[in-house]
Amino acid sequence: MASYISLRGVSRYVLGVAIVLGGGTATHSQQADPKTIEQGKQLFQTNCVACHKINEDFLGPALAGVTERRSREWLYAWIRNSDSLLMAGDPTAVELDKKYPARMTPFTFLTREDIDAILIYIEAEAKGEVTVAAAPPPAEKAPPPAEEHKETLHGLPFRAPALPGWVLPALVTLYLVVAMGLIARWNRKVDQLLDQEQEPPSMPTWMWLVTNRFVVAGMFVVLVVVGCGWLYEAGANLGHSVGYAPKQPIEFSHKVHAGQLGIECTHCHSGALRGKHAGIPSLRVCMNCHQAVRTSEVVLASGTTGTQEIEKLIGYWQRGEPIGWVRVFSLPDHVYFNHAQHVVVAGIECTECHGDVARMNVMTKPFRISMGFCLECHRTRQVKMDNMYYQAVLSAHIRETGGKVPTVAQIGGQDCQNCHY
Amino acid sequence: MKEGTENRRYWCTIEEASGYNGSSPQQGGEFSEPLPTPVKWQMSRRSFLKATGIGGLAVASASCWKVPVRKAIPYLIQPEEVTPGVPVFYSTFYWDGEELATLLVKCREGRPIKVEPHPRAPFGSTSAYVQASLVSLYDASRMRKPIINGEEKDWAETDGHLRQLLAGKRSVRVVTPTLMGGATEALWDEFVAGFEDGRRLTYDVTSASALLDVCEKVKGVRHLPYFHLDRADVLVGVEADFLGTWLAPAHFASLYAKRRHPSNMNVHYQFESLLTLTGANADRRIPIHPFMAEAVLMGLYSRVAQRAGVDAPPPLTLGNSLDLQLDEAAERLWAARPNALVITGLNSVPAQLFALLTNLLVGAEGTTLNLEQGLHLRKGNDQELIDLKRELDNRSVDVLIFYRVNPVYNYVFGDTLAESIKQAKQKGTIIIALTEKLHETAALADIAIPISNPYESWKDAQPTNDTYLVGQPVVRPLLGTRQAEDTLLKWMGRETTFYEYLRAWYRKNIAGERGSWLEFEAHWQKNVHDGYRQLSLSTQSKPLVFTPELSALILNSAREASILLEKAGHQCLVLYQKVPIRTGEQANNAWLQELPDPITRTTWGNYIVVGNGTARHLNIRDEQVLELKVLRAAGGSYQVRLPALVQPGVPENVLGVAVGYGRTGIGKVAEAVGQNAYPCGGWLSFGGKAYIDWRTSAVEVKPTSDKESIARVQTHHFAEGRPVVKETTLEEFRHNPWAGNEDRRHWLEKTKGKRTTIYPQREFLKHEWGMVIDLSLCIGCGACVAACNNENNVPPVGKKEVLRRHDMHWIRIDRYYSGNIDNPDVIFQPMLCQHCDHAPCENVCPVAATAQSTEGINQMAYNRCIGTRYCANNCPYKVRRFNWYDYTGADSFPLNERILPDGPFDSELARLVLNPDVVVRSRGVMEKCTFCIQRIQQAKLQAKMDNRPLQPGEVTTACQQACPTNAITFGDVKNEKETVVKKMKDEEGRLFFVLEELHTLPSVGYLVKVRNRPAQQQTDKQAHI
Repeated sequence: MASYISLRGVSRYVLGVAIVLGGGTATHSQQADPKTIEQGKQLFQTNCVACHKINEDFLGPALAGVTERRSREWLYAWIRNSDSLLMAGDPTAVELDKKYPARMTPFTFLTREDIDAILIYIEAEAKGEVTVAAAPPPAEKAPPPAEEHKETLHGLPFRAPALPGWVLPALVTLYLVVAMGLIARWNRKVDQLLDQEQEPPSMPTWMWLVTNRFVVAGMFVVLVVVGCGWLYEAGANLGHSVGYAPKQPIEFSHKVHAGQLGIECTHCHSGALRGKHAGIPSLRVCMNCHQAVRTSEVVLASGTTGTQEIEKLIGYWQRGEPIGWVRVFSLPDHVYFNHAQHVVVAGIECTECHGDVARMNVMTKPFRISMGFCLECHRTRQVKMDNMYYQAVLSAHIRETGGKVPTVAQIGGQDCQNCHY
Repeated sequence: MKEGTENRRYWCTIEEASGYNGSSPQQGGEFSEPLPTPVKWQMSRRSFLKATGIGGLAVASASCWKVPVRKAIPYLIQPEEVTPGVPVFYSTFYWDGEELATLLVKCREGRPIKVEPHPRAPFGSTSAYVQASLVSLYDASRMRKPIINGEEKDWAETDGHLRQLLAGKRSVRVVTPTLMGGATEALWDEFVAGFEDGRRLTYDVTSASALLDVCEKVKGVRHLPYFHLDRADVLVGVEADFLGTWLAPAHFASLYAKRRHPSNMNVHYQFESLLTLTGANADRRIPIHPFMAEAVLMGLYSRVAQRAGVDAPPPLTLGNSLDLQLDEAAERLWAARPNALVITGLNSVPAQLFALLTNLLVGAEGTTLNLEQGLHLRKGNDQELIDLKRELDNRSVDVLIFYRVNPVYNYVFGDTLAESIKQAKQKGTIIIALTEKLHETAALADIAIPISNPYESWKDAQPTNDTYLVGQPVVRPLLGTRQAEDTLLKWMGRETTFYEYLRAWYRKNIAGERGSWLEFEAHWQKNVHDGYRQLSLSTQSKPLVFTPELSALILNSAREASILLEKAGHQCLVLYQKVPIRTGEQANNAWLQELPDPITRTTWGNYIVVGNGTARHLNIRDEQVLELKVLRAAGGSYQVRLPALVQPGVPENVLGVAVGYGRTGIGKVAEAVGQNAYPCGGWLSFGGKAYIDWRTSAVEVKPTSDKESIARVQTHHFAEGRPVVKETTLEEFRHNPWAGNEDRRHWLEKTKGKRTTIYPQREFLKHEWGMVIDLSLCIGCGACVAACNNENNVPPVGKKEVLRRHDMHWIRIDRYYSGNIDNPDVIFQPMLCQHCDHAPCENVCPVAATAQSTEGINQMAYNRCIGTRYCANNCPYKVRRFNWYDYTGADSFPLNERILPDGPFDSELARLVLNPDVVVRSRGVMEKCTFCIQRIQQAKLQAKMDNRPLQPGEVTTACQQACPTNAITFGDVKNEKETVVKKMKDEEGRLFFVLEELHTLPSVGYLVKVRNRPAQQQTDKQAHI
C-alpha cells in the first residue's frame, strides 16, 4: 500500500536536527572542536548507544580506536547500510556478522558529516577528552514567583493563592471561635446585669460550652468549614493519582535503560517526535537489543533480576503476544495533548512532565498533572521565536511592543480550544 | 418589479407563505413541547434538608469512583507507515453500482475514519452519500459467515461445496451491477465462460438503458456520453436531477459550479414535475406534468431542427405559456451553439433520442457532450432481467448468482421476480447471493456468501475511456469476509488472489507487457498511490447521419411522445430518489437517514409529495395519511400508506414517493422507516424492448383520517421575516455590483465602515479565522453536513428526537422559498456557528464555558458547560445544539443513554468510525461548530514542525473540503494571500453578514445569490404560469 505519509518524516526530522546542530560544516579535516564533539555526542546517543559502548564490547564491538581499525569509506558504507556490504561479501563485514549476533541497523539517513561527527566524538571520548557534564538536577517544580501569576482570566484579575490550602479555613475558623466566645461572654454579662436580683443557676463553668447555642453553632460552623476544606483538597487530588506506580507485566527499569545506558527517550518513544502519542515501543523495538542482550545482573525493586525480566520479554516475543503495559500517565478524554508540539516545537525536556525517569526503577507519576500544571507552564514560558511559523505571525507584534517575546498564554496558550475539542 | 432582496418575502413553509405568525398548530407552535408552567411547590424545611443531604451524598458518591486501570498495548511489530496518533491517507475510490467518487481515505491506527475527495483525480468530488459511507463499512448487521440452506458454514467447507456444486452445471446466470473495471469484468466474464451456457446480466437500479440504446442506434457506441457541464452556456434539463441523484451528481455539481459564478455564468432551464435539487438551482424552472417530458424534448428538437434546417416532426402543442418557454429555451440553445446542452434523466427512448439529437444539432458533440470520452457508470440493459424471469419460469437456469444486487427489493417487478425465484428453487435451480447483507434477495437464496465492503476490497474501474482507477483496500476485512472476486477465484479452482489477478491484468492491458519487473512495479505502485491514471483516447464514433432507420425511430418516438402526452391530464405518480438515501442501498446508515432532504428538509422516512394545487383540489392536509393504490402493468395492484407532504412547486395531478425505504433484514436503522415504493413503478415498452419507468398514471389516492408526523427540520426555527438571505439577477448585478445588497451599502456609507459598539475592539494576534460562503455556488446538496457529522462525531438522534427538535447537526442547509407559491424560487443557505466577535452566547454563559479565542473562534469548552442553554436561547442564528440525552454513550450513567440502535455510536464496531481527535460529548452539554479546530491545530503544528510559515489555504474545514462546488472558502483573514480575503475584497458588493445589524460581527460572510434571469420581463412571465 502506498501512503502519503511515510517514515520519511522521521528521517527528515533527524536530519534536520543533525543539520541544525552541526551547522552542516563538519568535514574530515576538522579538528575536534567542542561543537563537533557535542554534535557527535548527540548523534551517538540518539542512534548508537543502544548497541555500542566506547571502551567495551556490548551488542556491537567497543568503538574506541575504530577509526584506526577501519578506513573512512568502509565506515561510511557500513554504518549507512551494513546489509549491502554483507551481501557484497566484504570480508570484514562477514567476520563482524559472525562475531556479533545482532546485525547492525542501517542508518541511511546519516550524512557523511554526521558520521564524521560521531567518529570525532568517539575518538575524543576514548581519549577522555570529553568533559563529563554534571547530571541534570532532579526536575522539581519550583513554584514560580507570585507576581508571575498576574494573568487575567476572562478579563478578571486572577491571583493564584500562594498560601497552603488549609491556612484560610483555619484562620476563618479561629476568627469564628474567638467571635463566638466573645459574643457568648458578652451575652452572659448582659444577662447578669438584667437579672441581678436572681441567683445565677449553679452549674459547672464548662457546661456553658455545651448549653450555649452560640458555642454549639460555632462548633458546627467550624466542622463544616474544616470539612469543606478537606473535601476540596481531596476532591482536587481525585483522579490525579500522584505517586501512581502500578505493577507492570514486566518490571522494566527506566533507571537501567535511560539512566545507566543513557538511551535517549525518543529512541523508544519515537512517536513523541511525530505526533500526538509518544507511544510505547512495539515488542520488535525491545527485541532489537534483547535478541542479543539476554542477561543482566541488575536487581530490581521487587527483588527479581534483570535476567528474569528479560526472560519474560522473550516469552512474550516467542508467544507473539503483545505486552499489556499499565498506563501511568493518562489524560482525560476531553484533553487533547500533542507530544510533537511540546517536544519538537517547544523543545521541552521529557522530564518536565514525566519527572526524572532516568532515576526510576519503577515508573511513577511524579506530579499532579492538572490543568493548573499545564497553565502554569503556558503562562511563564516564552514562545520559541526561532521557529519560522512564530516569526511569520508574531514578529510584527514583537516589534510593535518593543521586542518583548510573548508567553505561550499570550498567544493563545490559554484558549479553551487549545486543548479541549 | 425589481428582483432584489428588498421586494422579496422569504418563507419556509406553505403556512408561513400565507401569513404564518409562529403559532400554527400545524407546525407545533414556537415550542416543540408545552412549556412547563410554574408549579406551586411546597416543601417543608425538613424535606428540603433531606433532599439536599441525599442530593449532596449522591453527587459525592457518584464522583468518587475508583480510577480505572488503563492498559496501553503496543504493536507486536509496528507497521512501517503507522505511527499511533498520526493519520495516513490512502487513495482509493468508492463505487457501489450507484455512485462513483475517487477518494483519499484518512486512516488512524489502521482504521478508516474519514473519506475526503481526491484533490487531483477525476471524479474527485463527494456527495453526502459517499461522505457518510464509512458507517456502512462498520455496520454490525453485515454478514459474517456463509450460509448454506440456512446453516452457517466455514469458508473451507463452503468453497468445497460450491466447487462441487458448480462443476458440470450447464446454464448459469450471474446478475451484477454495472462493473466498470477491466480486471473485474474480465474475471466475471471468465467465470461465466467456464459454463456451457453461462451469461452475465447487468442490472442497474437507476437504469440508463434507454440512453445506452439511443447512443448505440444514433452513434454506434453503447456507452453514455460524458457531459461537460462546465462548457455549456445554456443548459436545459428535463426531468433530470443531475445535481442530486442522477449518474454522478457530485461530479456533475463540480462541473456545473464552474459556470455558476456571476463572472462566467451559464443559464439553466429546468422542465420538471417534482421539485428536485437541480430544479431548485435552475435559473428558470418550468413545472410540467411528468408525461409531458417527451413532448417537451420533442418540442425542443423540432424547434432546433427548424433552425438547423433539418426535417423534423412538428412540435406538439403544450399550452400557451409552456410553448413560449420552449421557444425561448430553443432560441437560446441555438444561439449558444455549440456550447449548449440538453439533459434528461428519463429512462425513455423518445426522451433520450430527442435530447441527444438536439445536442448533436447544436453541435454539442466535442464541446458539451463527448461520446469519445464516454461514461461507463451505467451499462445495464433492462430487457435482460425480463428475459431472466422468463428463463426462470421456463426452468432453463441451473444456477442463478446475484452479486451485489438486490432486485427483489429494488426492481419494479421485484415481487413477481421473487415468485419466479421461489418457484425455480422448488424445481431445482440453485440461487446464490454474494452479498454484504442478508437483504431481501439474499433471504431467498439457497446459498448466501458474505462479501467485503468496497473499502475492504481491491477494485478497478474505468469510468470514462480516458481514466483508469485502481482502488486499494483501506482496511482488512473486519468481519472475516472475503471480497467476491477472491471467492470467485476459489470456486474457479484458481490458486491466486484477486490482487494478483488485477496486477496481471494491469500489466497486460495498462502497463504493457514489455519492461522489466522493476519498471512494472514502479508503474503499478504509482497508480495505486495516485489512485488514477489518464489514458489516451482511441475510440471513434460515427458522425450523425439521418439514415432511414433513424428517421423511422424519430417518427416512432414522436408518436410515442404524443401517446404519453395524453396521460398528462391525469393523476400521475412519480418515484424519485431522496438525495441522502438514494436507492436505499445504504438505508441502514443512520447519518444518511438523519440527513435532511435538501428540498423537503425531512429526515427518517418517505411520504407522498403532493403539489399545493392538488392538495387544495383533493382537500389533503399536510401529514394526513394517504392510501395510494397503483394498478400494475403485470396485473394486480400495490398499495402504500404514507403521510402526505404538501410541497410548493409541484404541478397539479402529480404525486411523488421516494424509493429506498421499507427495507427488511439489513439492520435496525433501516427497518420500519418508510415503505417500499419500487413496486409502484412500471415499464415503458418501445421498439419491442422494455424500459424501467418510474412514472405511472394508474394510481388512485384515498385520503384517510389518520395523521402521521414527518420529521422536518426546516420548521424548527423561524427567520421571522428578517432578511437572512439576499439575491439578485445577473442583469442587475452587471449594472450594479451591489445589487441585492444595497441595504448593506447604505449602512456602510452611513457608518463610514466604523462599527459603533460598547464592546472593546477585538484584536487578534496570530490568525483570525473566517469563512465566506457563496450562495450562488451552494446547490444545497448536504455533502458538507455529512462530512461534518463524520469529522466531528455528531450523533444521529432518531426520528422521535428530531420531531422534538433535538437534532444535533453542527451545520444545516436552510432552504427558503420566495415568490409564486406554485413555482417558488428556492435559495439555500448553509448555516453554521458564525463565530461572532461579539457573540451573544458568550455574554449569557454563567460559567464562561463559551468564550472568544485569540484566533477569532467562538470556542465551546464541553467539560465546563453545565447545560443552562442560555447560549442557545441567545444565539440569533440558532446554531447551538444541546445534548438532551446521552446520544453517544459518553455519559457515566447508562440510564441517560439514548443511543440509536445500529447507529455510529451503538457498538464497539460502529464506534470505530469516530474521529479520535474530537471528544465525544455527553448528556447535558451544549455543542456547536468549532471551525474544525482540530484541523486548524494540526495544520499549525505541521507548519511549526516543518519550521515554516502557515501557507494560505493550508487549513480546510471538513465542510469546505466536502463541498463539490467550492461554495465554501475558509482561511486566515489576517493573511492577504488567502482566497477568503480575496473573495471578501473582490466581491465586496456581494458580501453580507447575516443579521449584521445586531452587531455580532460574524466571522462567516455570505455572497449574494445571483440568478441568471433577464430581470424584468422574465419575472412577469413567471407569474403567469
